[in-house]
Amino acid sequence: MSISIPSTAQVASRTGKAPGTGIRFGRRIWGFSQPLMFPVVTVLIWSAASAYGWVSPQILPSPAIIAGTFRDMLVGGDISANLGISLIRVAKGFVLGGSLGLALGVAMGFSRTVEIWIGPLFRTVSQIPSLVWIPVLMQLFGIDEMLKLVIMVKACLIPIAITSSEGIRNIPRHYLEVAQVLALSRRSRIVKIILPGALPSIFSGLRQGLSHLWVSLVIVEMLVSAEGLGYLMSWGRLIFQLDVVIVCMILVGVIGFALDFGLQRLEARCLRWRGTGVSG
Amino acid sequence: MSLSVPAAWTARVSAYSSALVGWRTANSAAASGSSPRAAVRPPSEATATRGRGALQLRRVSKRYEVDGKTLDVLQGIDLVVEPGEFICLVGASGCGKSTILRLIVGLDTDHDGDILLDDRPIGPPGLERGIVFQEHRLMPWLTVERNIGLSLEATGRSAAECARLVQEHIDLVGLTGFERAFPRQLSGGMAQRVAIARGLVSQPKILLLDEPLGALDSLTRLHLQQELLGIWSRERIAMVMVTHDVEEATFLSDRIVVLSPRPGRVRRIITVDLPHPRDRGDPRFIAIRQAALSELSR
Repeated sequence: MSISIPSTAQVASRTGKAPGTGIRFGRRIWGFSQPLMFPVVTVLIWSAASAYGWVSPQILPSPAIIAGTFRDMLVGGDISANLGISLIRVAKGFVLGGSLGLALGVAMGFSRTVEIWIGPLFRTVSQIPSLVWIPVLMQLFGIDEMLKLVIMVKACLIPIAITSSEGIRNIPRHYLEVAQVLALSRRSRIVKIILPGALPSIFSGLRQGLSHLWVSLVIVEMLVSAEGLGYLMSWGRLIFQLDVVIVCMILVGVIGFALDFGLQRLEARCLRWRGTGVSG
Repeated sequence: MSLSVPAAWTARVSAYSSALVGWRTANSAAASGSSPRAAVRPPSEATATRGRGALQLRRVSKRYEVDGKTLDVLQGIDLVVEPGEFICLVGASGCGKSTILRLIVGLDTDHDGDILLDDRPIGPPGLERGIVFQEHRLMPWLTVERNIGLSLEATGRSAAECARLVQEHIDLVGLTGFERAFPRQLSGGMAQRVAIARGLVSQPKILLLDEPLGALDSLTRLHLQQELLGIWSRERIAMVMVTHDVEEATFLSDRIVVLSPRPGRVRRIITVDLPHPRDRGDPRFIAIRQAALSELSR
């Protein structure tokens, strides 16, 4: 009697194996196109609205105009310059905020004292939108890069610290008892049981943190900045060019999606043991 | 709070386990000529060959404080487990069966009376006492071999030695080929076998089984009873198993300990002096099972 569990690679190749190449290709296309259905229909209705004059073009420019504006901004370098600046800010903010958040989360997760001292404060501060901090922080840090960095760090640090500390504290007691029975050293207990067990929470904290960070960066750039995607948007509004604003809005959405998607892929790779999908 | 084992302890454990390795090889060589069934022997013989892994509970009582009220869970439990003996604890739910195991393994503390292993009081949890829980409690993020290997972390053995022992025990529980599988890819019965291998790989003196087959379907359960018996006869290790199932107890054990509920007390100990393999239809088997059942429902 020989049964064998297929390895992950085998499973992947098996699920990919369809009767014919043509059908397989068709399925792939269908898989990719499903999420695009609603946006496409929206654009079609929007085009119709502009073409038949249901809405004035000053209020809602047609998709064709938006596409034209997008092309001009791309060729003219407006997008690449401002987007580049925004993404560099994101990178700096996420590296700093992420590592501080993880460090704090680990401290809060392992130490009852740290949690008691700063846990409630953290949970309170997390209820205050980043936007509200801007006036106060402007007084302290001016309107330069430092302000953006502080806001971004604040935006991502708190969800990361809170979720990762909860992940560490909520390791099932069952697993800790196993560690106890197997006489694991403190180090093995942390490395083999607690951290891997908390990793799903840590990842959800990182994803939540990154999306908070992105949203607050765009807002800060809209209010106090002379460059970046948010600035571009507020500039468009100032000169009443709604096409520029809409191009920026779409970009904000797409970039935010891409950032989260990247983390999601990393998560899937690190948490292979969960199988495909959260429910496994 | 550190869970690390004192160096002296680790040394003791590894000394024991190396003695056990030597003992094992000698025995498997001796037994290799005979059929595997013939390897099942009465406990008295094991006492003669081994003379260690003897567990004694002397007037063990345990009470919990719940909302300021004291709740007696166990009262005056006296029990001697001979080396290599298979004991089943049966009793109604809430009679403290699992608490006995948790006390022996060291997960619960603060009891009255003495628990001695080889005439020495038990210390904090250690690898000389293995346990298999009702839920398999495998780490979902570790493969089968790493889950089993977790049991050898604290022994300070070389990586090669660990790999050899792990493979040996994967083979023992019949999971060859599943070394790299994650727990989610295993059926309930397979996961429980991994848990048994994890309990055995550190070569404990005694293996405690807390309703390990309780959550399995009846067919898998029958299979695993057979396998457990095979493992027990090959490893010649004392096993104490908690179960709800009187027939399972009659099929597996040398002695059935019937506990009375709240507070848990030893009501009666029934010796099952039938040779293995046991026939569930044998009138003597049925008589013993009935005796245990009527004792339980008294």
